[in-house]
Amino acid sequence: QDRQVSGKVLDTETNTALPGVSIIVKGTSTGTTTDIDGNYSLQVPEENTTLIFSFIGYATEEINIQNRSVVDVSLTTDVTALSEVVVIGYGEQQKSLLTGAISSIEAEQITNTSTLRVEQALQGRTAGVNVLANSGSPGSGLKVRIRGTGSNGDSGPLYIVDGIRTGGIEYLDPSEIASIEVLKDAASAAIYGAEGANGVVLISTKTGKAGKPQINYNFQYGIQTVGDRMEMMNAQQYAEYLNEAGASGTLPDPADFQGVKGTDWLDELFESAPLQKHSLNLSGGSENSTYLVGGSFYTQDGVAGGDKAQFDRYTARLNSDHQVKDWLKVGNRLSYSHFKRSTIAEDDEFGSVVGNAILMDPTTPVIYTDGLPAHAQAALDAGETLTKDDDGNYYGISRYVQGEIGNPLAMIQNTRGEIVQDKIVGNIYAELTPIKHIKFTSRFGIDAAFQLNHEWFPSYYFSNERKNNTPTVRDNNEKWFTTQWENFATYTNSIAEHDFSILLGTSAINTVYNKLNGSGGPMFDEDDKFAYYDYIPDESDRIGSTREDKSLLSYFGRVSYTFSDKYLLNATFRYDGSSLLPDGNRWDLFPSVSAGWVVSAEDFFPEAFINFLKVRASWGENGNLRSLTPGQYASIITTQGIRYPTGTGGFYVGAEPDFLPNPDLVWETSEQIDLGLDFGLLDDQLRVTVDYYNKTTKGLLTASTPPHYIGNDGATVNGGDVRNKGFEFEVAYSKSAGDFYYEISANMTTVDNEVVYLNPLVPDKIQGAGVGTGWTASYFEEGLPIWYFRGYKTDGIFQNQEQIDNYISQNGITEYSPVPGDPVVMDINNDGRITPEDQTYIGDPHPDFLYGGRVNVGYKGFDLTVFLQGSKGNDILMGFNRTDRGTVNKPEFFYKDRWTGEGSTNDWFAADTDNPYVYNSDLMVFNGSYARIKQLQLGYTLPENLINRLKFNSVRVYVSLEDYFTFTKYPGLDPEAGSNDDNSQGIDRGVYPIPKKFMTGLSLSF
Amino acid sequence: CSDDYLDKEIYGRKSTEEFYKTDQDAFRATIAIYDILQYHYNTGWSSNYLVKTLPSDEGTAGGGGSGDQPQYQNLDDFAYDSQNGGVLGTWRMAYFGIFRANKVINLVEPENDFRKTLIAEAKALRAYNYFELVSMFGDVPMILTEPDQSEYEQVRVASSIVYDQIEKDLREAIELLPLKSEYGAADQFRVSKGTAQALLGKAYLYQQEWDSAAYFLDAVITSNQYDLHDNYADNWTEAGELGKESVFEVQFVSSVGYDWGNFPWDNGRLQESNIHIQLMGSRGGFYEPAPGDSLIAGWGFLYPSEKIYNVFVNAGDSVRKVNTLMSEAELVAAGGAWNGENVWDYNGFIRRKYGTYSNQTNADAVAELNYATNWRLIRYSDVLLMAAEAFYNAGDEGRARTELNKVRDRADLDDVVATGNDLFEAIVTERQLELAFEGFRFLDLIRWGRGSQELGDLGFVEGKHNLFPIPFDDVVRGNLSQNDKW
Repeated sequence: QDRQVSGKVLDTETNTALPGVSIIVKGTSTGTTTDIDGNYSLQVPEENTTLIFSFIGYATEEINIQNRSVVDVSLTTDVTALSEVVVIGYGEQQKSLLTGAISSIEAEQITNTSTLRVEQALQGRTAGVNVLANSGSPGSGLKVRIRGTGSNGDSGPLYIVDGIRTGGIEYLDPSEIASIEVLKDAASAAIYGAEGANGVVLISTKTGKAGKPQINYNFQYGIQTVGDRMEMMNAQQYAEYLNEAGASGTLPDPADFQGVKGTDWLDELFESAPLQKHSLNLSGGSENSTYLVGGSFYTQDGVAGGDKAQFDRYTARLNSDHQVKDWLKVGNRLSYSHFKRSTIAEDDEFGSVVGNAILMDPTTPVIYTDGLPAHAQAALDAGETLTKDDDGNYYGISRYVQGEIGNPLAMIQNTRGEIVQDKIVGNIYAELTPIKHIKFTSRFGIDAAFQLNHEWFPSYYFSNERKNNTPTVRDNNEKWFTTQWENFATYTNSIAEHDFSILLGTSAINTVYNKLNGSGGPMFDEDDKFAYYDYIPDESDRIGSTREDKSLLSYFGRVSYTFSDKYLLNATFRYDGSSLLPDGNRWDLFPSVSAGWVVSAEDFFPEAFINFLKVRASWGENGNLRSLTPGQYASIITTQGIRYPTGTGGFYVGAEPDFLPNPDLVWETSEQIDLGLDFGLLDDQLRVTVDYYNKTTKGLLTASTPPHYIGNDGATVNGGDVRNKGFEFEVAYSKSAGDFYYEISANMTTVDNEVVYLNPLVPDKIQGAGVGTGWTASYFEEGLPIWYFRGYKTDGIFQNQEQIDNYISQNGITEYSPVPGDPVVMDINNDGRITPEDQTYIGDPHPDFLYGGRVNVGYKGFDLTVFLQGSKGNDILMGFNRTDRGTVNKPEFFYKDRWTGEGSTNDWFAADTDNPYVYNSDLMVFNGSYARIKQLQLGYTLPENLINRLKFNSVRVYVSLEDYFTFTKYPGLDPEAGSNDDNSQGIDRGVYPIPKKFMTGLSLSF
Repeated sequence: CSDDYLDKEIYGRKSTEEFYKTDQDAFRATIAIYDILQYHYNTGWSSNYLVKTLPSDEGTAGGGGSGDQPQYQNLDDFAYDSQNGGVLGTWRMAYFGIFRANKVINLVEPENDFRKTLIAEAKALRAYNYFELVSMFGDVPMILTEPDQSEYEQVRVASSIVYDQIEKDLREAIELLPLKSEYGAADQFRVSKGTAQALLGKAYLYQQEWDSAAYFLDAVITSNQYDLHDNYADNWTEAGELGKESVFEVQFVSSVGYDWGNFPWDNGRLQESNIHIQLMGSRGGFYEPAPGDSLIAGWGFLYPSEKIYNVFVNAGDSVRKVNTLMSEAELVAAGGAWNGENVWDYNGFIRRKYGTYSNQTNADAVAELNYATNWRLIRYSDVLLMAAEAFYNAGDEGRARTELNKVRDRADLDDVVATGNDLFEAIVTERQLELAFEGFRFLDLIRWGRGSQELGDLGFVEGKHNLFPIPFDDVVRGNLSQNDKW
């Protein structure tokens, strides 16, 4: 005799109905699911009294219904981290059964930060991931390094958003994201074979849930400022320093500047700047169809440059899923973004705005309000264009600082340009389950970006070397179009205690890049409206275009096997072919294998305070071709730029091989082993993960440097091997008691980076980045960290002539004549001379370890978050100094700490503007360790009884201090802001500092 | 799916196998050899003009300060080493030219006269580049075909063998090359029979094979293809470029109209204007031109020395002096001004030869970036003076005086009647005056054995600075031996 049981299933937290919950009568196959309102009804055999309620993301409940006929149930979100499901490539897996090293970041961790870019959300939140800001300017990019810098060129991870490989993730707003998974070890990334060598970041965007429609709205407003700034010399100090140093050129007379502070250019440059963000998501759906519609708007001004360094971004998203038939599910992920970015010049010791604010002399006023001094009047009389501010005042031009250095505020005034990008990323998919245990997925996606960089350059005059008398306009129109079609099938089954799943699939990716650019001048008049080529005489227009095509074809498969949830085994292969490699070398196989043992599931494991323990190990190989563009292996003839003027005003076109051929080019591969331990203690309140990794990138792609006498540039070659190894620790503890709860989490990563092999085809040291003193400062060399700093090693300061004489005679040094106050330069190669060959390792930009920590405390409606992030053991090279421009300004500590006579100091040199033994030495290398409180946030969630009356589900308001407190010994502007170029990492060319932000925010859901 | 999916077009490029087939291919491949001659700004500032001039007694590096373009400062001070960027640039430019010449010589089939002439042109240009190398570096790797990757390590070949190859290439080229007058107006920059003869004469001169040198230099003189401009100044105007006195020049133009946004910094292949002229102008901010003087300011490199100024004064040579340099007093007297004190490396003199003339740049574009000034590699007056030296050494003092006096006549100087060593000294001084700041003085002093005598107080070390150091890069990359004392 059956009986009718009915009821309603609700979410414990939100009290909303849960549709689609599966209800099974225990021990039978009888069951049903809840409808759109969360209601269910089913026939239960009389002898059965237990119902099992299960729903993805919620803890499964077993209810003894006894003889009740109405059974209402509340399900609780499954917070036990170890039973979480994580997204892996082409599938999902229960976290407790993972055999690879995968870190997860949940949506709520990033929703309420001021982050514009999703990459920022990765910083400090998980072990093994290093996020390096290129700059603090609005909209600037970030470099993500998973387990160290593995490649010579692009070492960034592969980004997969909802299954689509995307060129970057700058188009995503953090509010769109449901979860982020970082695949760190080779075995986890191996399913992405050819492109997984630098790790994989998998992002899932939010989708609708069946049930009552939801509206979520977030608002943030913040004010950015620049914190403790580097102090520069004031006018008096500047005049004294230059005269003491005996700089060449016209020098200010110290007598004229006694007690004069002059212009503090950094003070004049930086301003407080607003940022604002809105995001809105609407979601809902029925049992068979769910949707999410969302959008966001973000706008940020720059702390340097204001609206000339502005970034605006709009995003829109439509995600939907439809269970059309029992055996067919279709859906889409579609996003559109639009951004507009204005930029001022940065990351450059020659022409950048911040760099020039550092170098500009303090005796020059920002503007002339009281007539022009003689040198400015002379320039004006000579017909030069002096820049004016909005009130018609001329900007100051320096009498002493020559070269390309200009008034930074005038440079901002002259900045006219913006980058506008429209991007569509999306896919449509179909999932078929034709027969039991088999699921077939077909997914077609595109990643299309259209970008226009439009700028024009007005006339200006800063000095004879930095002036422009021809207003010109420039455009760069670029289009990237990638299509990706993937088909894969999964067979999943359980037989007794054997669970297994087999995946097989293919992927085909095709990318086309087009560029159309033009430049022209002189413009009809210096105004935005004339910045188009039709208004410029035709003979001075210039136009160019390029195209690049590439494709990647892949076959992949995976076998996962679990015995009794104790013994875990995974094996993956991927077979990739790329158009970027020469015929015969195009295809390669990337295998991996990983295994795990859930020790705590064994009978012998004591029921102690350790409730979960798993050991795991993995090995695998991945590839990387990111640094390649089409045809880099072939000796191919180009006419680009090769022309010679005829005697009659025209040009003859020439042609020659672009570079030398390298028919031996193969994939860059990385091989990695990972050993890991996962613990759950105190009933999973304390969770610990420890990993050891050892990753070797082999055949790293680099430009080859054949002897110059071969007569052409080298092709790309597989240049060498880089090894990164270290440990990762992640610890999280959470506890709640009554109205009080807290969560503490921390992570730490050690990185040991070394170049372990160099191809004989490249020289024993590959030169990296140069700095403005004419010094090649970074190198790539076997036995040392990638792009380490190389320069003169010093050993204190010469205090008197006797010490100099002793040093020279004791070491048998000739052709070296320092004076007291100069640094003691070490003759590293002991050849009795001080030459560039004495330059040696003086530091490297790679941290010994990185760490992050987070504390969340809640009491009733209040919540407090403190989030700290830091790095230790990395060096920064102060690269903004210029020895070729003797009269540029310098940081105040150059003056205050300088050697002023015997015994004054042994740490810092006498006033000096051009000594290479000072400026190309370890004296310019500083400890770059820092700790930064990324976020200090206090929130308040309004009580339920109040918001229910207002028809809201939840209302939270908060204030937040972001990047507000920084602890560092680095005396420059910012220890964190880095560089666009990989070989320039840690070189401070006058960085655009990361601003502090005071944020207020509001989140509503109803 | 198949491999077809991976066969992608490489846009804008042709494979080597498809190229070097047609007359047009051959012509374009030959133009590429000339293109590299403009490559003075190849990877940063590394002009071989300055590399050959700064170690001389003609001038000082100048610029913004002792740290401005250290590769040039060090060349001036005899403080350069094997890592000097300018020295590397010179080496690289020559070998890049040789690579391109080898392509034409080895891959173009000499099916018709047009192609045969192009191959002859390529041989002459290859010889020119090897002469640059051998005269500056001594023994050098000699590459006549493109080596495989496994053969990149080469050895330095004795300079006598390199000279043999230079002579062979030039003799073959002379047979086929047209006379200068047989080239049309558009092609006046191309290597002619006279160019090859002058180069061959110069190669013999440097080897002190006086009879052969005299023979080939005389062939240029008797070809009736060249003459001196009536006015020395005409050599230095844009109109005088590729004129009757021009035996070989590197073409630059102002018509590209570069601006600060599109100037091809660090890409020598794209350079069409002579940016080094701007670098070598008297430094703006200090230098103020006299009214009506078209010599405007530049970035301050290569200030004349007092020594060279005095040579002009002592010789009573005013015609060439005003076209070569002026003193600060002369500048002020003409109404100009020098507004700086303590200016780095400034000796009180301003250079006018290869100066920053406003009429040699493009007034409609950014003037600094668009100098059209050609480098004059071989002028007819140089041929005459080389011939004079060759005849003198070959024992024909009469011919030596004849050729020497042609040059002096044009400069309104009295004929030299001296004999013996005095005649030789007259030739030496005449080269110093006629060819000042043209990049010959340093190598002349070396081959005359006068390095210590003239440059000793500047830091010249006999036995070391006679040759430039083999660039460090190639000592490492190619395992080359180094010159003595470097």
